[in-house]
Amino acid sequence: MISSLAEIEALAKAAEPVTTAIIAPEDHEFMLAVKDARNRRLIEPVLIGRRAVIEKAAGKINYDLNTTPIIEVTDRQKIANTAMEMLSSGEVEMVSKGQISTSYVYRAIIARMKARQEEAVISVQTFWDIIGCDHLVLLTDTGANISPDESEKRAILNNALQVMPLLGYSCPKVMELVSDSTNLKDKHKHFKLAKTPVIKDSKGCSYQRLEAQVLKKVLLGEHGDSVNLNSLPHIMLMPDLNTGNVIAKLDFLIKEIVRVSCSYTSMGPVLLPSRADIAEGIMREFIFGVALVAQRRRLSND
Amino acid sequence: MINLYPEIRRRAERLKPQRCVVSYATDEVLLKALTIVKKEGLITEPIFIGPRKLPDMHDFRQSTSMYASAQMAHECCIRQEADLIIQGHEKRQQFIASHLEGGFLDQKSVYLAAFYDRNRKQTFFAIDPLVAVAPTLENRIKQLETVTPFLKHIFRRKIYAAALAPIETVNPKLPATVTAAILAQMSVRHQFGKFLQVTGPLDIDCALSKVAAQRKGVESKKSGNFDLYILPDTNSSYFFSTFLKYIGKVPTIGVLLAADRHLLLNSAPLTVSERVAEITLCLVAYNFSRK
Repeated sequence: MISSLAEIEALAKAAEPVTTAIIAPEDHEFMLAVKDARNRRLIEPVLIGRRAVIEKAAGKINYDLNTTPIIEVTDRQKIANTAMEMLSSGEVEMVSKGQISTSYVYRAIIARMKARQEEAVISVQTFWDIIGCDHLVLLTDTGANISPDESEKRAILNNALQVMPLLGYSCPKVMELVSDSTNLKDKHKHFKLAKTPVIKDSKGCSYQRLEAQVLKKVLLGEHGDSVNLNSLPHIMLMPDLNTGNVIAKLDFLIKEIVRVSCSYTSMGPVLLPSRADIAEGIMREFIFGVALVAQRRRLSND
Repeated sequence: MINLYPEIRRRAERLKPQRCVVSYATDEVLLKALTIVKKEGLITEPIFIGPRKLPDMHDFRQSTSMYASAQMAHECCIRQEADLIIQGHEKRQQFIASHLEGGFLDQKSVYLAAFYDRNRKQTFFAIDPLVAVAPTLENRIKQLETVTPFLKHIFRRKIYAAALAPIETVNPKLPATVTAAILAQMSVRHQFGKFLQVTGPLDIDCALSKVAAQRKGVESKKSGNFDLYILPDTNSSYFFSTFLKYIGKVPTIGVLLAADRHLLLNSAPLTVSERVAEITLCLVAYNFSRK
């Protein structure tokens, strides 16, 4: 079981470079991460977007693009579509979003999933490496579904259950976050999975459900006097986008947390760095994506 | 006294002692905290309602159930034996629900969570992890009408609030973005008075980091330094508080502000210092509302 981002980095360093379609790398900070990742032989980038803007961003950081392929596409949706088609066909093993609205990327993913006749519920998985916790914690969905209903939550969970075995979590503990206030007053539109049967993915990977719906009960244990972060579940299902978005980025306030995010699909990982991320954070996402691809390769070889 | 929450501590100086009733008092941390607060002259001898009398409970009244305790505490306030109700060890939902049934909480009620940022040595606040589960715009306006004068009293200056939403642009499919934009515009027009400036909608990264805001092209001079975070709904607010408290180890207290009376909920587990701070916050709120 991979328990930290340091272990993820070791996996990534040992891997062969991953061909990566980069969607609209039009900002020097982002380009800096691409350059660094390429220099460290983590990725082989294929840049997709407006050539002039890409070259300008590269020029700012002295990135020589002579040996980096650029596919010129100007329409925003077509840029995202091109990257996803390359991922679907196996031409690249990973996709990363650059300076483009995430909605274009979501639409491109959904279009490819539909073309492949797959369940078209995309979700964003945010991983936390927390000091004092002996495992990684996956929060989902932190970016795509505004107010997921029960079937969407199952799909979100299934997406999470696809990625966790890659990190060695064959039977992850899952917790659906529900605040204890939801019983207090009006019954807000809030869908719980608690009464649905245990979900298994296509490979028969099941998960243990934690009975407690209130996080603090889990963290504090029976005696309720001290916090044990090792009790955190491996997967935390977010109630909705409002919560997922706020919680996923608490690393800005909590220094003990390091965050990486992606949208893992059957085609491979799609990295979704925030426009707010600086090169260091974007680099962390590249490393994470490369490690996931390395694990996919290993599993398919096995 | 306490080293946390200096702004709250300053406002508690020279307060006259208040009378309080503790509903279902079995919590040792609370008893220790009350002893400290009493020694500081902030409260008189408390009335304790609970299943059994413990040492130092001089004014003790027995009750057999949590529900009966809440009712008895409520009656103490009606008979003007006490000014404040403090939640003891009973379940929070039962405690609040008993007061909801009694018509205690109205639309202006709001749970104000207070956090102490040890790095900045500064207090910041968030609403509302408890009362309005899916707040409407009207809920939010009324809550801000309750919170703003109180925070102005605490900070003695203009209050800067971030109205959080998943994205920075207004999208009708995301009601939190619409509410945030309206609140921001209302503050521009001074509809909450001249002492509240709301910025929004703001994604939390832009609210917490100046660098993130700049990267996203969001103009916000107060990024990373807001006094108040208006969370989109109860779930987001509840888990915001819970994660900060348990994973971030950020001291977290709170008070339920109501139009005419305030309830002091038990945000256990708290250290004695945090519980002292929480009681003090409630006393400051009570005195402010009486003015």
